[in-house]
Amino acid sequence: MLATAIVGFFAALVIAKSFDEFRRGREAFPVFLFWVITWLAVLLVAVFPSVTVWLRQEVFGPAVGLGTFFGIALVFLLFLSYRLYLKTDRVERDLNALITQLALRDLPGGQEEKARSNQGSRDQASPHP
Amino acid sequence: MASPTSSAPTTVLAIILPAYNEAGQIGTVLDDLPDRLPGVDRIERIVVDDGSRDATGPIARTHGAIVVRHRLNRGVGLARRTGLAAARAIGATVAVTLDADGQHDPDEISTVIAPVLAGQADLVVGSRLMNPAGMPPIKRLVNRSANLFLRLAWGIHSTDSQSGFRAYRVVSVNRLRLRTSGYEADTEILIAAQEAKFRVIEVPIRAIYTEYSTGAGRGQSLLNSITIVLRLIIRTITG
Repeated sequence: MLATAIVGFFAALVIAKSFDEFRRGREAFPVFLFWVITWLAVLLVAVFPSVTVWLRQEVFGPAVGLGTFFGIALVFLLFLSYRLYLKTDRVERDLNALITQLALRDLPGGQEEKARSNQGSRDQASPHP
Repeated sequence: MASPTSSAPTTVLAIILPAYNEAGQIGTVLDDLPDRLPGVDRIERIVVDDGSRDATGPIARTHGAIVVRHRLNRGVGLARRTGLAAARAIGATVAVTLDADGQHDPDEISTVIAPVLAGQADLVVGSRLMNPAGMPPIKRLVNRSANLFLRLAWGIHSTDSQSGFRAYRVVSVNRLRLRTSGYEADTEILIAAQEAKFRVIEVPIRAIYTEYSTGAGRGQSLLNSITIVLRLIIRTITG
């Protein structure tokens, strides 16, 4: 009962947040749909745990145990973490490059231009300025 | 100011001070910097204001420094990189980085830059642990652990991998592939220097530990070292 309430709370939170982002035009419709379907599925399993038994018997077959489900879920989570890491790393690098370029504008006249061209040749020479 | 494109070869030294909320100390640190050094034709002071919320930048400017400002606080590593880019832009041939909290003795700048001026090194590290007298035991432990990690993981021998007192041959700096922006940048520079086949030399320096430089939020904690290690491992794995 407690687990169902917790899952219900988080599902409502994520769906509401995702809807708000979609409404403001900051999230694409497929992304919004993905989160709604994902969290409704999680909520369905929390409210009706027997769904997993039905899935095992009717869809996957008795050879697929709970361990397989957990294993697949873990791999999926690790994949998501990796994707998130790549994305934040790229954003951080872009932010750092931007902040450096803005800072170099503070240099006395003429020198900022030179700094920018140096920075540009450096960017071409190396993928990690 | 002489033009960097002047035909006569001149040795221009850029003294780079990355600074974050150092309004209380930056003026004194800048005033203590040397105006003249043997083998150097011109000295420029560059303060990289790393998104300070106090008057670090304006104070530095009134004390004669060139100030470049990070619009957001991004860490000492990126501040040093910005400082080195600025040094190159103003035509510096040698750059030296110091901490802005006054823990480095400006009189030792000539010792640190000497191997670069002599053409013997691309990077010189001022090592506090070659003569660690006066260094707090916990800092010694943290530094020695970091050195051991660097040696085991990358085969790099350094007596003070965390030192911020370093001299660079500016023309070589573009060969360094640097990504990190926090305190881990000190170690990353040594790794990148090895990758770029830099000539690296260490010289002994004295670190000055005052109430100000060891105050809350300054320097590296043991917990911070764990984060540094993790970031460096990720940097290596992801290239």
